[in-house]
Amino acid sequence: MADIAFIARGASLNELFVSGAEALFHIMLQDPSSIKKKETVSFHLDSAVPDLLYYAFLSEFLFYKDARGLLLVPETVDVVEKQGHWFCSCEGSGEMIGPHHVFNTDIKAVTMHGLEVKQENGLWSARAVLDV
Amino acid sequence: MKDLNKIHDCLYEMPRTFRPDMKVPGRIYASEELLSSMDSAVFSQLANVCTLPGIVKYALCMPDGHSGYGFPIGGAAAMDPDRGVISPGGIGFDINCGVRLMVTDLSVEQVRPRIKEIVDALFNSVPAGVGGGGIVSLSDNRFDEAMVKGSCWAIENGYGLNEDLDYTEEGGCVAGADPSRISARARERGRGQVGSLGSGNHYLEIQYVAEGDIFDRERARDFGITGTGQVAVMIHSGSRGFGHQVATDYLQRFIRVMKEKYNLSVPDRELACAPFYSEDGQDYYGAMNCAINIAFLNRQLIMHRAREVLTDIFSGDGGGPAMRLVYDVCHNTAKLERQQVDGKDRPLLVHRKGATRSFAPGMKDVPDRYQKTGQPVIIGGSMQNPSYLLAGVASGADAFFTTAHGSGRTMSRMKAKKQFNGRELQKSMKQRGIYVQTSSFSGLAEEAGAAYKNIDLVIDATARAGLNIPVARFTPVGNIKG
Repeated sequence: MADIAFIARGASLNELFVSGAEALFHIMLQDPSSIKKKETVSFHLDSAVPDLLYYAFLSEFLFYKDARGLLLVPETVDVVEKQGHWFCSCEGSGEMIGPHHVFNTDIKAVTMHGLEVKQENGLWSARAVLDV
Repeated sequence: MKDLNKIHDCLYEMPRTFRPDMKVPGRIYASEELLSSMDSAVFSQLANVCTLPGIVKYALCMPDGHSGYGFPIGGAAAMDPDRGVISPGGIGFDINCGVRLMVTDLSVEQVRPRIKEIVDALFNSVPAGVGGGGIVSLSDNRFDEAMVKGSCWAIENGYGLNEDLDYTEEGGCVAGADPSRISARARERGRGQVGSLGSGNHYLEIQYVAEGDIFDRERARDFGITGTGQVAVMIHSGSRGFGHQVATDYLQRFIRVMKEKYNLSVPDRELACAPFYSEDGQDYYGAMNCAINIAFLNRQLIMHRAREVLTDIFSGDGGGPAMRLVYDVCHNTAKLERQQVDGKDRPLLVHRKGATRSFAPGMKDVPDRYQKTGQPVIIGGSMQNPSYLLAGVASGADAFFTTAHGSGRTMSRMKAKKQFNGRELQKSMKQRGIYVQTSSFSGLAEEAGAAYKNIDLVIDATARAGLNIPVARFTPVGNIKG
């Protein structure tokens, strides 16, 4: 009730992860297109399972928002599995929070509640619940 | 409801037969009306809590309970620290989200004509919303110091009075904070937000005591409530990005180690846990205590700003208004407490998630001034409805001296945003005598009073259940929200 649940979808894991991050900004901002691409940031993550990798990926954007004051939108995401372990490389671009960014709500964290990444009929989907 | 046993009018028990993996029964403190309005996830989440290793007697849900993640919001559970676990999901991401109440010698007749000036000044001086910064910006060393000292750091640096510490839970500084257990990411995420309100259901509210709203005159007097029309300030905020990152870090760590190191499994990953006295359990405990202290510091800094604003506006020949902290309570913590269980004094690790400690008269950690009255408890209403001041009572022992923390949501944020318009809400509140300033009108819509339970019903249930006794009620006249 106090939280927001959403489902992201993509034809590939890369698309799914991009879609999930974009959902964060659709939830947080009245107009996600108000984020201009002025700075570029790259980060790399890994996990034993894809849903925890997705959790870490979404959490990264919340970290940048609070730690650096940076609203970062994913440009390229590469999710691969190597020898049973999952890796994600992301290049994002964005800008510092400014008066032209009108916020609907702030997101405190991604929760583990009902967290799920799955593939059905060739389409990837992920469910996550956010603490706001 | 048919699977629950009614113990009395405001207490229902979920027996162990509700689900085969439950180690103890669950207990829900609620009237029949409140119980019937609880969403079904509350019951499954309560049952999940009942499966945690080392849980003592019952998992609890308070009258304002609603579905959360891991524990229900309004949930509590006491663990045997030697055999039991600590679970970040039993505390929440906003570690030590809590509320404090400060009373003044101002009257509503003095404040109401100037409420716009007061609220606008508060809105301009207390950082709120996203990216607003904090009242203080701390270097690494000073941040470590603040993690250990909590509110004491504020007093040492000129942001309050010594006596504020006497009227804060744990003296505003919980022992066992270990900055070495804090990640670089949590430091980076939290450093720039110390002394900020946040957003969502966080607020700084100007309130007054309306006619007929003092219910226990003796306790009210001891708490500093002098009479009808008295103005108070209530602050609801937590540990901000710092606490959120601590919780995120340790949730991920516990999920990794839970099975492989401790052979533990839980029905909901949000309940990921570790034995309390394990290395992982103690690392989280040390980090959590840092976040508890940062939240105390956060609320102390905000209160100091409120004092400055009111002094500026109301200072006359005699100086500014008298202002006194009644108490500051935590909502989201795990604390080591000694309590009587089945006639024996024993240590307990009490998880409270969206629930408030409510110690009785005579208990050791109740301030000297309140030894006869019991610990003050503050239960906040929605921004359109009153809030309550209550006192802990001896019968609260049955619930590990725990009570509700707020109204509890009945409507999801998405639904509230569709149903209410933030600007219209601001206008209608102004017409009803509540002036509100906000960083987000969308956020304001989510906080509409109709999205919450009836606070009077919640308070009535806590009183009839023997969790606390109502002392006074405070009606809002002004509010700032992030």
